[in-house]
This record gives sequence, C-alpha cells and structure tokens, in this order.
Amino acid sequence: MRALGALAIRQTLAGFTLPECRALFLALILAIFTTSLMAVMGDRLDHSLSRKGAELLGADLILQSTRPLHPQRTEAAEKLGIRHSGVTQLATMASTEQQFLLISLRAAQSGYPLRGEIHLQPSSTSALPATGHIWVESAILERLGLALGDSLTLGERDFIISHTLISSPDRGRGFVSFNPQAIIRADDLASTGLLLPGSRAQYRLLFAGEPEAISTLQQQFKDGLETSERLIAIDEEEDRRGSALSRASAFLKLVAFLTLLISGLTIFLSLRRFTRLQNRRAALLRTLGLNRAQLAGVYLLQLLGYWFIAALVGTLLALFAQQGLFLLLADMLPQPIPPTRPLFYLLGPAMGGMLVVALSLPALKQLCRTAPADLFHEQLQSSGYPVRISYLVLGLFILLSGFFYLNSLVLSLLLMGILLLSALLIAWLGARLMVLFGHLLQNRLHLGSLLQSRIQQQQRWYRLQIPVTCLLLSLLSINYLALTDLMQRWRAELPANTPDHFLINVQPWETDDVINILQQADIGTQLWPIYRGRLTALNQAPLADTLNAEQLSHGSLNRELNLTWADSIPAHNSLTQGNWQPDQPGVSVEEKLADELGLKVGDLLGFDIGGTRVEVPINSLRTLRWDSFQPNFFYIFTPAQLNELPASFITSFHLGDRAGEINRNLLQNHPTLTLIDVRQLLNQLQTLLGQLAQLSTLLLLLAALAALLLVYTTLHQELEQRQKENALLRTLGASGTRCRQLDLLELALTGGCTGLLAVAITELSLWPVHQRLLQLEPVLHPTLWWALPLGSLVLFVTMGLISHRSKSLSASYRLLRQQL
Amino acid sequence: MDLSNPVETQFVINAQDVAKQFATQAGPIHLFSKINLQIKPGETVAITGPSGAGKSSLLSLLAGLDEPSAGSIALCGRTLTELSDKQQSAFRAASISFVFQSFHLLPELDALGNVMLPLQILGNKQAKTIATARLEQVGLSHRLHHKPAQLSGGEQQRVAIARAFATQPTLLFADEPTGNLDQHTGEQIIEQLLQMNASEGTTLILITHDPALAQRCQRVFHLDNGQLQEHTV
Ligand SMILES: Nc1ncnc2c1ncn2[C@@H]1O[C@H](COP(=O)(O)OP(=O)(O)O)[C@@H](O)[C@H]1O
Ligand SMILES: [Mg+2]
Repeated sequence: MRALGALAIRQTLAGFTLPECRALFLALILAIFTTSLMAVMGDRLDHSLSRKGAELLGADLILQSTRPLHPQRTEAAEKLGIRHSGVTQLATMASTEQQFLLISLRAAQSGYPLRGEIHLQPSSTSALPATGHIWVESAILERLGLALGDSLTLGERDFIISHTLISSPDRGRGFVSFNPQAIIRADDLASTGLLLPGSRAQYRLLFAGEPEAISTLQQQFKDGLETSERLIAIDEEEDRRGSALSRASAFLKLVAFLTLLISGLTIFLSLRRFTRLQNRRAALLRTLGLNRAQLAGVYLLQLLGYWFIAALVGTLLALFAQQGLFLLLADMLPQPIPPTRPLFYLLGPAMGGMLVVALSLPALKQLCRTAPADLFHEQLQSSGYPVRISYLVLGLFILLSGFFYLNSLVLSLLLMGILLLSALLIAWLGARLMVLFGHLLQNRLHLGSLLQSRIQQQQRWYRLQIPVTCLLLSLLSINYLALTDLMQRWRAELPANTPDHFLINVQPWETDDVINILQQADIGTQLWPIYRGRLTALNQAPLADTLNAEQLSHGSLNRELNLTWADSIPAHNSLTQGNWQPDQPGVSVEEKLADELGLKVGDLLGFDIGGTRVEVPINSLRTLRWDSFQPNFFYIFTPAQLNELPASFITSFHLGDRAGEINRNLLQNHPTLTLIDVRQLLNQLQTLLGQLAQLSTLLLLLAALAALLLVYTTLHQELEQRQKENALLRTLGASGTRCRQLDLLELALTGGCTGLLAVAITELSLWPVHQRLLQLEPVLHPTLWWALPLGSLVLFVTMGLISHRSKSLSASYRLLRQQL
Repeated sequence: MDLSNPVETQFVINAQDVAKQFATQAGPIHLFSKINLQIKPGETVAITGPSGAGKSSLLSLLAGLDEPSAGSIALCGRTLTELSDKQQSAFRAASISFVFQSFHLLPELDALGNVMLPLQILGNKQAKTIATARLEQVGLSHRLHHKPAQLSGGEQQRVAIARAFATQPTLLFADEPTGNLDQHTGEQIIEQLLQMNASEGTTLILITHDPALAQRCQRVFHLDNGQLQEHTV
C-alpha cells in the first residue's frame, strides 16, 4: 500500500502541471480562503458591530427602573462574572445667578460606562468627574452663557464645570434624554438633595461581559422582571441603529452565502472536468492490476492532497487577508477589535473537504468503472461524470449552507428552486439567443458562416457557461444594487437637513411668534397641535369588551398618547388603506398599531381627551417612519374634530451650527418652551451608518472577486479545450489569425448574450426585492442595461485573449498528443 | 485461492464460441460470433485484419478486460468473469501485461518509475533492481531517469515493454505496438518483444497489420468479417 500512497503523492504533484488539476486546486484555495475569511471577518465584524451598538448603549445589557434597583441584581451579575456599574438619571433645574435651565443629570458610579467612551473637551482620561466637578454639554454652556471653570448650581450644591461633554453613550431613554446633559459622580448626588422620595429619576444598572453570560443574565432578569423595571439589550433594540445593524448583518450573511455558492460551483465544475479527463489513466492503472478500491483510494488520496495543500494555503491567506483588512478598517471599528476565534478558520477547510469528498465520491465511483478496454481504442472517450448524483450533492450543499446562512429551510429551498429553474431557463434562452445572433450575423460578417457552424457545435457549452456566468453576474448586480438601495435608504433616513431639534410645549398664543423667529432664520416648519388623550372605546363599546387580553395590555392603551389633526397626511407617512378626506370626520391610524389592536377602516373609535369624549370613524391606515426625526403620531384626526380642545404645539427642524444663537433667541422670548437637542444622537448614527455601508461594499467586492475567479475557471477550462480543437483546425490548414478571430467573435457574442440575460434576471429579481423588502417603488436601472452586457463581453474577450496568448502552436500540438 | 501461480492446464487461453456485439444508438454492431481459439503456454500469436474488424475488441476479451456477449474464455484455466474485481485485479497484476499502440506511460514518472510501478503494485520489494535490469535488457540503462516526454517514441515503447515484462507475466497482449513508430523502430520493437518472449517463456498475443511482422510469430490469425482464420505457415 506504500506504493499506492507514493503513486498518489506523485500523481498529486504531477497534477499541478495539468490544467484541470490546477483549476481544481485554485478553486479549492479560493473556496477555503473565502469561506474562512468570511467566517472570521463576519464573526469579528459581528462582534465589533454589536460592540459598536453596545457602545451607544454603554453596556451589553441595561436594567432600568423607576425605583432604586435591588442589590440582588448586581449579585446575580457578579456570580456570572459580569462587570457592572450604575447610573441615576434625572431631569432637574440647573441654575446660575441669573438663569435656570432644565437639564438631564447623570450621577455615575465608577466604571461607567462599561462600553464606549465619554469624549470630553479638553480631553481627559479620568473615568469620572472629580468630586465637586461637573461635565456639561455645550448646549448648557450656550444657553446659560457659561464657560469652563464657571460654577453651576444643582439643588443645594455648586459644581465647577471642568469639561465640555462632547459625546457619551447611554444618554438615557425617553423624555429625560432630550435635555442637555451633565454628568457628576454618584457620591456627589446625595449632597445636592435632588433625589427626594417621589422624585422622578431613572435608575439604571449596566452590565458587560461574555455573550453567553449576558444572555443567561438577561434570561434571569426577564423571568423576574418587576413592573417598574425594563431590560434593554443591544439585540432587542428596535430603534434605528438596531434595524440598520440587523440589515447590515443580513446583508453580510447573504454575501457569505453567495461566496460559498460560487466556490461550491467552482469546485463542482473543476472536479467534473478532472474526473472526465482521468479515464485513460484510470484504465491504464487498472490494466496494471489495481482493483477498483485501490484505484478509488489513489484518486481520493490525490484529491485530499489538493485539499490539504489548499487548506494550508487558503487558511494562511485568510489569516493575512483578515489581518490586513482589519488594519484598513481600524479607523472605522471600535478598538480594540475583538480577537479572532481560531475555530472559524477551520470552517473553510472543513467546508472544502466536505465538498471535495461529497462531490468526488460519485465521480470516483464512475471513474473506477472505467473499462480498461477503452485503452485499445485510440479515439478519446471521456468517462461520463455522474451528473445526477453530483447535482444532488450540490443541491444538498446549497440547501445546507442556505439553511446555515439564512436560517430558514423554506427560504433556502425556495432559493434553490429559483436558482435551478433560472439556470435551466437561462441555459435554454442563452443557447437560443446565440443561434439567433449567429443567424443574424451569418451574412453580415466575413466569418459569419464559420461562426454560425461554430455556434451550432457549441450548444452544449453555452448551456453551461451562459447560465453559470449569467447567474453570477445577476447575483452580484442584485447584491450591488440592493446595497446601493440600502445605502440610499440609510442616507435618506438621515439626510443632511434631518431635524436635529424638537421644540415642544409651544402654547397656542406663542405659535405665531415662534414661526416668525424660525422664519427669520430661514427655517420653514410646521407646528403640530398636540392633544393628550387615550383610546377608550371601539365601535361604541368599552375596549374591555372588544379586545382580547393581549391587545388590552398594548402599550398604547395604557398611557396618554399625543394626538393631532392635520389638513393632509405628513409627507413621511404613506396611506396603505382607505382615503384621507379632510372635510369628513375621521382619523387615520398607524398601520402596525391598527393591526395589533385589530382596528379596521370604518371602525368607530372613542377617545378620552382631557375628559372630553370624541368619536370618529377610521378613514385610513398609514405607515410612517419612526426614524424620520419628524413628529410622528399614531392617530391623526381630520380638521375640525378637536378644535375646541386645549392643545400645545410641537415641531422639529434642522439648526445645525446655528443652534446656539436660535436657541437663545427662542428661549429668551419664550422661557417655557422645551427645546430638545438631538444632534449628538444624530451624529453617532450617521457615523455608524457610513461605516456599515463601507464594510458591506468591501465584502461585496470580495464576493465579486470570487465570482470573477469562477468565471475565469470555467471559461479557462473551455478555452483550454478549445486549444485542442484549434490545434486540429490549424493542422488542417486554418490560419492562426482566423481561428483567433473566430474565437474572439464567438466569445464576444457569448459574453454579450450572457450580459443581456443577466440584465433581465437582475431587473426581474429586484422587482420583488424593492416591493417587498425595501418598500420602494420598483425602478429600472438603465445603466445596467448597457454596463452589464458590455462588462460581460469585455470579460469574455479578455479571458480569450489571455488564453490565446498563453499557448503557442507547438504547445497546443503537444496538448493534442497528451494522452494521460 | 493463490492467483499468482496459474493453474496447470494445456491451454493458457481457451476461447469457446465467443461472440461480441455492441449496442449503439444506431443499432447493434455484431463484431463476431463463434470464435474459437486455443493457445498454449509460450506461443507467439499474431492477429491481423483490416481496421475495424474487431481485433482490439477480441484482444480485450481474451485479456479478460471485457465480457463476451456469448461463449466463454478461460485464462490459465479459470474464467475471469466469474471472479470478483479484487481477484481479477490481483490476477492481472501478477499474470497479464499489456503493450499499447500509444505507449501509455505515466507522464510524471521517469522510465524507472514506470517500470517499477507494476512491481510496486504487487508489493515486490526488489522493484528497483528488477526494473533497472529490465530497462537494461531493452537497452535503456542510460535513460533510467528520463521522463516519457524526454524520450523518443521508440524509447517510450521500449520502456512500455520493460514495464510489461517486469512482473514476468504469463500472458502479454500487444495491440499494434508498432503502429505509432517508423518501420525501422517498429522492427526493433518487435525484435525486443520476441526476444523477451523467448527468454521469459511468456505467451505473446500480438495485433498488427504488418504481414511481415506477423510472419515472425509462430501462429498467425486473420480476423475479417467476423471470421477468425488461422494461416498455416
Ligand atoms: N464500446 C464500444 N461500443 C460500441 N462500438 C464499439 C465499442 N468498441 C468498439 N466498437 C466498434 O467495434 C468495431 C471494431 O473495433 P476495434 O475492435 O477497435 O477494431 P480494430 O481494432 O480491428 O480496428 C469498430 O467499429 C468500433 O467502432
Ligand atoms: Mg484496434
């Protein structure tokens, strides 16, 4: 058996000179490299990004309460080895000798925050303000006309302003987070006398630790959560950042899946060619006395040899590549970047090994059945590749990896079905299209009739090459366009003039003046009247009689909501059902809420607004964007429904750098107004979204590289085969130039057809993606219509040129003679 | 069953009423039927006939590489098709060798490696010594470490002959071994084959369509139109 091992090793090494083995080897490296890299990168990025989320949050998990938290809570965390810290946040008046300002005060314990950093001006490394010192946001300095070093009074105590607070995680939630912020040490809080029994403060415990421990703790807390308590975790954040993160990670997974698909296909095709061309050798080894099992052993060893070397090379490459990438990304990611988990490096080799074995076993079985008698016949008969079984294996692989990456069997089944059907359809269409073009060109080019017969001969090849390349191009362009749409959406979520201030508590008699002040500063805005009220009746029956228990516990029923009326639906809302008729009594309801409460267009809603009962029918349902930084309302009434009721007004607008001046202007004239500054929040979000977009682009580029290599592999295999035919043609007297022109013409045509089909596939697939996923009006992408066919044409021709250059006549003649 | 020591029989090849037909898409091809052939140990046999007559097909039947459509073939007294793949392979490794028209050397192995291979498959510890001796016998002692690509056609075929004789086979099948060589080289190759046959006592079945070469064998058969006829010299 040593002899067989040695034979396998020599065969492996010798294989490096054979084109199909080289292709297989490169494909394996590619597969292992990309799978490992994606796994490691994905893992580290996921880690990093969720840490980034954690840094906005200031922790991995937060337990928040309106009452001081029980020490049991921290003991539970300590048992699990989780770090913790605490903060108390309250809205309070800060004062100077002349002025008062409502601020949000945080009294932080040591270690706060656990994730992310507090940025100060001048920068400082101290974790907490010194005793008697306070850090305040610039808004406080602006409004109170203070500078660093001045003193600020909180309750019974004076503090020295030592630093400006540039940004800080954990700004708090809800109303309290909107006021300008200040931070003091927790031990200084008592001396202010602000925290009296009954004062409205938020008590928060922050936790950070290993993901497993955190989720254990989270579960423990969840099970014993008191009514005053609320748990806040990164992955449960339903806010803008949360949805952006999850969309980004879904996109990363999609790209990883795509790469895996591509790699699998590359291996499949190389292996197919490899086994096809091995039948003579297999026959010879059989005549030398190898039995089937031994022959299979030799080939399996050879393939495993490639796998082993490819695993080494691929893993090393992945190691270097990810180091390099993270160096490049260092600026964009929170430091320190979590370390690589070595296990993820095994994913590529494992995947590659599984693929090689699974795909080669049926082929090897076939190879071992090679009839040695074939050796006596000079015409080369290539052994059949057990296509059906291999497709089955490939399908299973797609299904499994789809399940792994997309987390849904149905989805991956559907995906596979669609891929398969499209491949078949494209194969048929592509071959037809080639014939059609061949026909059209027949009499128009001097090579026309040669081309025509070439096209007739090559139908089989088109049925493979065109769908493979076409699907690749489509997948890449779908992903690319989906990414651009995603980025556009991200950008649209936060355009440059996104409102960064909310003005609330505007009284009816102040509205004209406020609008005046804003208009003078060139700020156009709409004031929304606010009525505080709650839903009490549905179709003239109390809610308790019409809703089920789950619906009755809905958050929107247990507090007063902001209600408003308007002449028209706001621009960032869109009607999904019913009609907005401003002259009829009616109310428009937010769709998700309506769905959860089981409300339908036509239902009669009864509201209690400050003791007054109002009954109106639902005239429409609408969706809105909570992330628009515009005032949003669950219920919008038509005009004249709420006229006689007392209201205050709310608005939002973009101030940007002029904030200080306009703030002063507004507040000096109307001291009771509350101006909420969300600039910092906005900035944090914009940075994060920008980084996500860059990362996604980068990963997509990697997938594109993998795809390019696959197309190269398949095309190169065919072109190498072509060399033999050309060598034959040339020995028959065709000139080299003519062969070459014919080849290039055919390749250009194939590339063009492939590109055209890819355009169609892309546009057709983007239609539902746009409609369902991104909720955008489906649009055509005119650039795609010329860019894709042209790109594909150039790709094919370039590969053709490369392949032609690499073979001299004598080399291709030797190719002809090559027997084993 | 010890396969390396052939059963003692009168005939090393005994073909009875052998028929072969291929099913093709264009319908069945009947190559021949009722072919009978008995060959004694050590004989040299030539099979001639026009191209497409079925010589190669007959050869692969006789060598047990293919199954006849009807009739039976016994090699060294046993019917190969009744044996398992393992037993067949072991028998082939020990007792049968081939020389092909297009040499079929493994391109990555040098001359020595190619000749050693069948010995190694048999687990022979003296593979290298034997292979070197064989290559010397065919006059290639100065080419031991050349790869097939560095050898001329005649030299490649001599390596193939050395490989074929390396295991001291009972039977040697050669299918137009001179077909890819010029006449002079071809004659040398035949000379080599016959010499080795004489010194090893191997039974030689040789396909050729060169009548002159055929005449150098003890028995000459002609296959045409599905009929196998022996020419008596
Ligand atoms: N496996 C096969 N299937 C179908 N036809 C075959 C097969 N093997 C050989 N033939 C046909 O049998 C005929 C005889 O072939 P062959 O034995 O190679 O003849 P020869 O060696 O005398 O030239 C040829 O027409 C060939 O095409
Ligand atoms: Mg023949």
